[in-house]
Amino acid sequence: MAGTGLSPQIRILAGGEPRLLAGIGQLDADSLAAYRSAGGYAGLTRAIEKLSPEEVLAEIAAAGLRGRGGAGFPTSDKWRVARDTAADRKIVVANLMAADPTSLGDRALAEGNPHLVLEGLLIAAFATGASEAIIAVRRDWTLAIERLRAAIEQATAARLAGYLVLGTDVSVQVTLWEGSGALVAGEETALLHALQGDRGMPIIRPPYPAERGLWGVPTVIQNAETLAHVAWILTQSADAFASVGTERSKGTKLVTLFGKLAEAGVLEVPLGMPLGDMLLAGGGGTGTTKALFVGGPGGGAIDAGRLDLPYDYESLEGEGAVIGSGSILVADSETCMVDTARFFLDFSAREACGKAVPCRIGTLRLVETLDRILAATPRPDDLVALRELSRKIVDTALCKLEALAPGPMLTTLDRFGDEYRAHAERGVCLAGSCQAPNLPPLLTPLADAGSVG
Amino acid sequence: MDFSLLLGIGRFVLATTLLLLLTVPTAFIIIYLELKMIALMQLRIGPNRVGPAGIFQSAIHGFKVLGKEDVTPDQADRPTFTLAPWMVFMAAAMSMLVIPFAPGLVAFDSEISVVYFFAIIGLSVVGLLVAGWASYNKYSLLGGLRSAAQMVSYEIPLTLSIVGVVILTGSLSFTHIIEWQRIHGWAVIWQLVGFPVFYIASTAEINRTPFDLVEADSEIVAGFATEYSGMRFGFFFFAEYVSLFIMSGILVTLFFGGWLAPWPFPAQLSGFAGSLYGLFWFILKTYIFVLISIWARATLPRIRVDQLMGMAWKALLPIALVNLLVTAAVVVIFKL
Amino acid sequence: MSIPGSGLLNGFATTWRNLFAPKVTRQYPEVRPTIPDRWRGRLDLIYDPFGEHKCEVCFQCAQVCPVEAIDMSGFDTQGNRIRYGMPEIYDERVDPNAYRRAGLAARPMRNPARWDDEVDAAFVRKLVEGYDARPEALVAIFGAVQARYGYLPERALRLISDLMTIHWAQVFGAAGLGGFRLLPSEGHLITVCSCAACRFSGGDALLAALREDLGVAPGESTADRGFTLETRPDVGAGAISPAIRIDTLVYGPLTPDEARHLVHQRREAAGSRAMAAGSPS
Repeated sequence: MAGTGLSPQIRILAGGEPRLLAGIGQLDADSLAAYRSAGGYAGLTRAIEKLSPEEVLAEIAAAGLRGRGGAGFPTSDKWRVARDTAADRKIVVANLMAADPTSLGDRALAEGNPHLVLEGLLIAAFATGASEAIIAVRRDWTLAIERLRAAIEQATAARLAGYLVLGTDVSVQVTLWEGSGALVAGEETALLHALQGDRGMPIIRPPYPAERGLWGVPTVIQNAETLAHVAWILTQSADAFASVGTERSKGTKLVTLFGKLAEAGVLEVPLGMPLGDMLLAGGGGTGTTKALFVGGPGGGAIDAGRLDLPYDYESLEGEGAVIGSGSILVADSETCMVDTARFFLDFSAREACGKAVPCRIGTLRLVETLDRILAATPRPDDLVALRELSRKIVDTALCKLEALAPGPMLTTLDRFGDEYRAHAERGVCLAGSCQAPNLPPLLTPLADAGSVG
Repeated sequence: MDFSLLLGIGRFVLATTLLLLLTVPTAFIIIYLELKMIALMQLRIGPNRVGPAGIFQSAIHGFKVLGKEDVTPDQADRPTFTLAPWMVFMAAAMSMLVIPFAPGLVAFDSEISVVYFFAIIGLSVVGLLVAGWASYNKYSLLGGLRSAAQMVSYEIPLTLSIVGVVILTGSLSFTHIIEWQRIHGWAVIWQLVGFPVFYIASTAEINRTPFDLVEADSEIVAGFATEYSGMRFGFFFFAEYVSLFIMSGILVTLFFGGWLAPWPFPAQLSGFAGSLYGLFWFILKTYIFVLISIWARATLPRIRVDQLMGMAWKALLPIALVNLLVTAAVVVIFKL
Repeated sequence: MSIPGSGLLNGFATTWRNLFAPKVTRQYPEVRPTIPDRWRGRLDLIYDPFGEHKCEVCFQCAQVCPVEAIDMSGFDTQGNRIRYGMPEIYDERVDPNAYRRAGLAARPMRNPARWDDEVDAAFVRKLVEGYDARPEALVAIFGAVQARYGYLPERALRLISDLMTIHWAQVFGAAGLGGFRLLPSEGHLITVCSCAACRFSGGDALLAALREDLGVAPGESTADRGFTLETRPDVGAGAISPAIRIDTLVYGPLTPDEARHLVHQRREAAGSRAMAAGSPS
């Protein structure tokens, strides 16, 4: 494919605030020279030649950059931990596992501007004192792998990576690692295990990877988009970065819109942008938009009446959703909420690594319960059981993915409870999309789902 | 102030203090014997690390119990909750006063020590009931009631069995009973039926296997002692081992000649040597019965509460009554 | 007639004898147990000399496990397939003994070629050496093996476990979580994308159409072994939903008719090849 081409899955939408996405699709991703002439590696040069690692850290802190992998942990804090842990070997990892298959922002970066991610990774290595960097990428992104590999070679040849970067005594060996694409592989500690050749299952934290990670050394695992922002911040400025966003959520985020809207694709939005505006950038919803599932399989449903909700970490969490992988599913009035909830839970159940019992078995039981509801043969306390089991799963979660798994179901139960009841009690799909089952409906109403916290 | 009165009071206080202090090593020794002997009977080795052959094991257990957190349930009746272990222990300790360890080594040598002894033993029932009630716990209450029922039911055949001895010896004083046995031979020969009844009833009285369902974890958690922890819990079980010693001592006194040697020589040692000699035999015989009780614990299964009550009322009581009748008849007829 | 109390006395006699009998306690750590040389102390399903698992698939372990830690599948004595947990994690087990007990005709294991599958050991060896037998390269090695065989043969995994001195459970676990195929697919592999984007833009209609057309459920192969149908969440998404993948080519967005057309194309191509080769299709 020509250097400007992207995989057909990726469509970049116009609108929003393109900083990272600027030029993707026009930039020759195979060429280092093209990147440089667009202003690339200025950030790295500035960091290594003019700033000290502490100053770089301070700049990232001033920008208020938060991890874009989903957790939103302040990037400078993570680097601080790694920096302060005494070790003679430190590693930084770029997380390109993009576990949620619907989230294409990272893929767009990896294919469209691999050097941007690489630059951010090198800056991170410099700031934390790491001498090794690994780019962990999904093995089915063949184009991204090709381009990243080429980028690493070019950068090493140009003394931007490898030994004696830019003639100084900084050295960062960069390797590419291909991993399997499972939902859990995007989880920080699971990725650590996968990188070491183990089955990628999470482990309890603390100790955090930034203290003790790969092979016992401090390892900073950063999402690729975060690293791209790092490069952008060092090239432009911390103030420029913080010029958009809200009080505690600064900067931009890559979101992937799909579902019942005119144009599905990747969009870069300033944090704090109202959800309704994002929908418009995607050409608006087709049909009557009913809800937005924000955050992928671990997100939550925001109903159409709340489209003024700003897209930032705090506001979403307040509504039971998360930024997560940045993917947003648009559902219209013909999308059954129960069916959607079941779909997301089924995905989480299938992708469960199997380590934590409440996740491995609990998600399965939730799916079974929803199946019973959809078949109009619920047990009398099924709606209550959904909440109780979800609470247990959330309270005892080993990893964040498990804690967020019941999210779509709980939020739809809160906001679209009548759809659940209609299915369970009368076998009727209010959205009109599920096939009606041939079973006699339940005569007595179910226990009130809202009474159990 | 009468000097002899003062001396008497002083002697009494000394004796009481000594006895109370002696309960501690006694319990420790018995606990160790139990651990070790049951292990050996179960083809295990038992404690063998703490001290030579593990002899300090039970002491360490005691310290461990001291170190545990003492939890009082929120809604428990605090004063009575705290008092209950004391009552049980005091019942045991006070009854130790009348035990004839050796000639001249009796803390409270009275003419009615038998009556005193069995009256005081009955106080432990009160302690158990109080423990069960004050814990504010269904299981404790039920356990306490069951314990109380068990103890009360077995007290009757217990007391009746010794009435046989009392009639035979014509005295209610332990020292006189022992004297009688010195002349007439050990009372067990005379009370072949009374002895087993006493033995079984006393085992039930002190909650030893096979009558220990009140402390069986699988039956009712820890029965009346469910809510007890730390040293208070320790007290209950401390009291149990002390009672084992006491009951064995009384058994030995009543049926096996107390401080008497099994053979009539040396004829009559007096003074200090006599006391020592008598003490030796008393302790030996008592510990033989303690060991038999431990042996029973290693061997026998627990019996159910209905079997327990049935045995008390439908078996032991009639047998004890018959024994009493026959003994009385024999005494009257043969003008013993 | 037994003497009342004789049972008790017997009991006492036994414990008395035991008091003097030699004790069975082993005083660790002064006396250590002798452990056979190759004991690894972990559960492993072992093979009999004929190459079959000795596990009888009686499910007792899975049924009794209080935390449902055991996944297994197989046939019970009534011939019903029972599955505990997801079969993709622990391979499908079809035990000939279970068939025999069910009174069914003995069928060979579902994929009899699996254990007897000849794997090019030299190829695997070279692959492993190429990565210096580093455990980090496990996924890459799997990828290369799957590229060659279309799936990960069990023999290849065992060889990898030996060559890299990695615990079999770790190898199998890494393979199980990685989106690799553990069973061979027959013919063309049609993968319908089941990610959220595809699902909510008509993916289920696509799947339904292909199921009807091929006459198989996802996970199965057609009778003529021409096609295998499956669903995976990582095929397409984004701008080309709903998408399918046939072998290595991704097609999208598709309508059900277009999908059927693609399948028919393949069928015709196979048919014409067969005719050209002169063999009955």
